[in-house]
Amino acid sequence: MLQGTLDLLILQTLLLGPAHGHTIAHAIERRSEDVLQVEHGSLYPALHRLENRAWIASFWGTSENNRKARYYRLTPAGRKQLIEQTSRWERLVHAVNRVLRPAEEQ
Amino acid sequence: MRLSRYFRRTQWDAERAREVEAYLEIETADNIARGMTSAAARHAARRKLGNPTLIREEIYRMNSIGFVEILWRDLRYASRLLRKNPGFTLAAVASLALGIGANTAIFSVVHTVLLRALPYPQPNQLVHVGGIDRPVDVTIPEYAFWKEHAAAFSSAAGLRGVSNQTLITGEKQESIDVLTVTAGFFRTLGVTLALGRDFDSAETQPNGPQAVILSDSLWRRSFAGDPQVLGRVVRLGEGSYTVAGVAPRGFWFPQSADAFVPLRPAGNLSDRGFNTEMIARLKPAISLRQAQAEMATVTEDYRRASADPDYTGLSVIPYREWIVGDVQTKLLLLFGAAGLLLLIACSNLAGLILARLAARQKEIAVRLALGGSSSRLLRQFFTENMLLGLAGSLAGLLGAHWLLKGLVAVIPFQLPASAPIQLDLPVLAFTLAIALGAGLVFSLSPFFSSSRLDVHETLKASGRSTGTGGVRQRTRNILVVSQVALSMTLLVAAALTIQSLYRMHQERLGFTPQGLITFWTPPTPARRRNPVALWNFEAALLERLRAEPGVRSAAAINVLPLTSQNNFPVQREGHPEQSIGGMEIRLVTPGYFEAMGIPVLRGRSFNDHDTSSAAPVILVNETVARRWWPQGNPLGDRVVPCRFQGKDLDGCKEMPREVIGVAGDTKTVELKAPPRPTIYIPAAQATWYTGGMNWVVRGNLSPTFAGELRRAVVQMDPHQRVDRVRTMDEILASITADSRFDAWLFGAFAALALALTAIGIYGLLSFTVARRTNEFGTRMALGASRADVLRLVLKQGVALTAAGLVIGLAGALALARSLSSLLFGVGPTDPFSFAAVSLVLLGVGLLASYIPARRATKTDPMVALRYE
Repeated sequence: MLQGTLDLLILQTLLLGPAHGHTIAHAIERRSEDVLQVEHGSLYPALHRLENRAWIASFWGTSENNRKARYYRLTPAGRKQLIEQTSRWERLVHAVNRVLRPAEEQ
Repeated sequence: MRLSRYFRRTQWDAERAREVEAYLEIETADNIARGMTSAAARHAARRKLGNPTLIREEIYRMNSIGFVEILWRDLRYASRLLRKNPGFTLAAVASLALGIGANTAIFSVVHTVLLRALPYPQPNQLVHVGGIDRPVDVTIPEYAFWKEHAAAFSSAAGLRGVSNQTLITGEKQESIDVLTVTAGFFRTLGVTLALGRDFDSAETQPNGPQAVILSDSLWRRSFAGDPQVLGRVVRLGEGSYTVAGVAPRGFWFPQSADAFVPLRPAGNLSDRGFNTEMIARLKPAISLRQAQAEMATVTEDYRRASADPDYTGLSVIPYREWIVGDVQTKLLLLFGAAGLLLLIACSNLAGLILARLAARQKEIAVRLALGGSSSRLLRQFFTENMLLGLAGSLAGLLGAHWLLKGLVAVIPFQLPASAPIQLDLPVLAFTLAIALGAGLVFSLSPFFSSSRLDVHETLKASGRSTGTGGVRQRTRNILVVSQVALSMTLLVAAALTIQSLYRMHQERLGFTPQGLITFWTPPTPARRRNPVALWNFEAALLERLRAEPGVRSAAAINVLPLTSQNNFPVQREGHPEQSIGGMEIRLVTPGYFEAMGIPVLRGRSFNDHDTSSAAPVILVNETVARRWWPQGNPLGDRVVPCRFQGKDLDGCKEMPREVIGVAGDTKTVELKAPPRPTIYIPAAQATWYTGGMNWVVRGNLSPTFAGELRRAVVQMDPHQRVDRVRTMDEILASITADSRFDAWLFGAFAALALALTAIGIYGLLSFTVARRTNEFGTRMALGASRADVLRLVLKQGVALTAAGLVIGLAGALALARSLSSLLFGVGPTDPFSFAAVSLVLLGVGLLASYIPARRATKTDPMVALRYE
C-alpha cells in the first residue's frame, strides 16, 4: 500500500461513522474487494499518528458483540484533511493515468 | 499536537496494549464464529496482528524526540555502569581531574601574566633600556645622556626600587611603599595623572623642594579622596613633601607603590652606580629593530664622551619582555609539564577504557546480535566517555581553585600580574576546551576498535578474545609507549632541575653560613646626619654584642653577600690601566672575616686600631689580587677608590689606601655567578658612610637568641630599629627558592607521570596475561618452564618501555634545551641525567611487568586447558 494512502482510507472509512480498529481494517478490505490488505502492524501506528494530528479522536466504547473496544471518529479537522487529500489523490491518479495512456496506444 | 504526549507515555502505552488486546479478542471471536477452535482462533488472530510489542514500540517512538531520548537513556545507562565500577570510575575521574586541574590552575596564571597586554596605551612602544654584559641598571650620567641623545625615544624615565617609609599626615602615621621615579615616568607609560602635575624641574634637582605623587588608593585611604589635596605638605620619612598629583584609579606598575617621589641625582658617587632602572617609549614610527640599531650608535657616542674604551653600552628590549622575563620561560615550562601530564593521564585512561571494552566484548556482541546498530553502540560509548570527561573536569575545576591558591602562594618569584589571577571566563573556556579535547583523545581509541567488532567471532570465542584483539592490542601498545615517552620527558626535566639545585648547594660560598644570624640596623635620623656619631654607636653596639652570652663572634658589613650590590670604580694607584669600574665595595667592622669564616689568605684582617685617625687601609679579595698582582705581592701596594683610569670622580670622599691583606673569595651578588672583584674598607675609616649596617653574629642559634640580640640593641638605644632578622641559612634558602621550586615541581610532575605510566604498563600486561592464559597453559603443558613464561611477559613489558625511551629521548632533548636557562652547573644534555632516567624508567617498566608476569607463571596448565 502506498505511503499515506492508509491514512486517507482510514479517514474515508470514518466518514461513515465511528469505528474501532478491527472494523476499520475489515471495512477497507471489504470495500476494496480484498485487494487492499491492511496490516495491523501499520494500522495501529497510523491511527495513533492521525490522532496525534488531531484528525481523529478516540473513545472507549462497546463493540457489536458487547466487548470493550477503542472507537475512533473523524474530527472537523480530519474532515477538512480528508477533502484535501482526496482531491490531491485524484489529481495524482489522473496524472499517473495520463502518463500511462500513451503506452496503451502503442 | 499535544505536548503532553511526551510526558504521559506510560499511560498511553497501557492504552495501546488494551486496544491491541481488544482487537485480538474481537478477531478471535470472529474466527470462532467462522468455526475455528478457540485455541486456533486465538492463534490466527495473533498471526494476523503480528508482533504487538513492535507495534507498541513504534507508537512509543512516535511520542519521543529521538536524540534527546537516546542521550538520556545512554546517560542513565552510563552512570549506572560507572557506579557499578567504582574503582575504574575513581581512577579515571581522579587522573583526569588531576590533569585538568593542574592545567586550569597554570593556565589562569599564564593567562593573566603572559597573555594580557600591559595596561598602558600602545604598550608595544614601551621598552626597557639596560646594560649589556654588566648589571642591567644604568648610572645617572648614562640615563641623562641616553634620554637626550637617543632619537628613537619619545620619552624616557628612570626609577629605583620601592622603599618602605613612614607617612605622617596630621595625627596619622602609616607605613607605605614609595617608588622613586624621574619626572616623565607617567608620561612615558602613557598615563595621565588624575589630579595635579608631574614633578617639575626644581623638584628633580639635588637640593630642590620635595614633592610626592599619591596613588589612587593612598589618596582615598588617607586623604579621604580630597580633591583639594594638591599643595598639601606631608611628612614622609625624614622630609616634608608637597603633594603634586594623584595617579589615576587602576594605575598598575610591576613594583606596586602607594606614592611616588622624585628621583634626583645625589651629586656624588652614588650617581655612578648601576642603580637606576630605565624605561622609554619609542616614537610611533620607530620599530624595535630601528631602536636597537640606534642604541649601538648612542653607545659609540657615550664611549667617546666618557672616554671609556671598555664601555659596553645599553640595549632595548620590549618592556613586556622585561617584566615577564624569566617568569615567561618558567610559566611556559610549567604549562608544558602540565600538558604532558594531561596527555599521559588521557592515554592511561584510553588504556583503561580499552581494557574495559575488552571485558565487555560479550555484552557488545550480544547487543549487536539483538539488533543494536553499531552507531548506537558507538554513541553509547561516547556518552560514557564524555560523562567521565565531564566528571573529571568538574572535579578538576574544583581542584584548580585550590591548586591555584596554593600555586600562587608557593611560587617563589614575583608574578607580574596586572590583574588578579583567578578562574575567570577565558580560563573556564580553556578548561572546557581541554576537557573536550581530553574526552576526544581518550575516546578515540575505543571508537576505532569497536566498529570492527565481529559478532559471530566474539560469540563463538565465548569470552576468549581472538581475531579482533589484534587491532586493540596494537592501540594499547602505542598508548603505553607514548606514556613512557612522555614520562621520560618529564623525568629528564626533573633530573636536570634537581641536579641544578644540588649543584647550587654544592657551590663554594667562601664563607660558613651555618650558625650565623643576621639583622639590619638602619641609622636613626639623628645619626644619619652625623656619621661620627653613627660609627660610635656601631662600635659600641659591636662591643655590646660580643659581650652577649652565647655569642662567639660578631661583626657588621654594609652589604651582606648574596643579598645586594654596591659598587663604584677603583684603580690601582699608579696604574690607570688597572681600573675596575664595577668594583664591589664592602665596609666592615673588625672581626668580620672571623665571624663569617672567610679566610684571610695573606697579610692581616682589620683590628680595633684601624680607626679614622690611623693610616687608611684596605683588603682586596682573591679575584682583585689575581687581576692586579698576578705574580707580585699586593701587600703594601695602594689602591684608590673613586679613581678610574687616572681620573678622580667628583664628590667622593675616599683616599688612596694601603693593601694590608687578601681575603678569600666569597660569592658576591649572585650564587650562580663567580665571585666579583671586591675590596673591604674598615667601617671606622669610611666616615662618609651614612647608611645602615648588616650585623652577622655567630653563636648558639637557640630559639630565643634573635630576641636577646634585639633586646641588646634596644637597651642601647630604644629608638634604634632592628629589621630583617634572619639566619644566613634562611637567606641562602630564599636565594635557592626558585631552583627548589623548579625541582619540586618537575619532580612532582615526573613522579605522577611515572606512577601513571607504571599503572599503564601494569594494566596492559595484566590484560595480556589474562587473555593468553590458554596459550601459557598450552606452552607449559608442552614443556615450557615457568622462567620461559616469565621471560615472555617481561620481554613484552621491557620492549614497550625501551621503545618509549627511544621516542622519549627526542622529546626530552627538546624540553631540556628550553629548560637550559633554569639550569645551573649541568648542561641540558647531561648524559648522567639521561642515563639515570632511562634506568629508572626501565626499572619501573620491569617492576610493573613483573607482577603480571608472575601471575602468568602461576598458570596451572590443567586449569587453563580445561577452561577452554
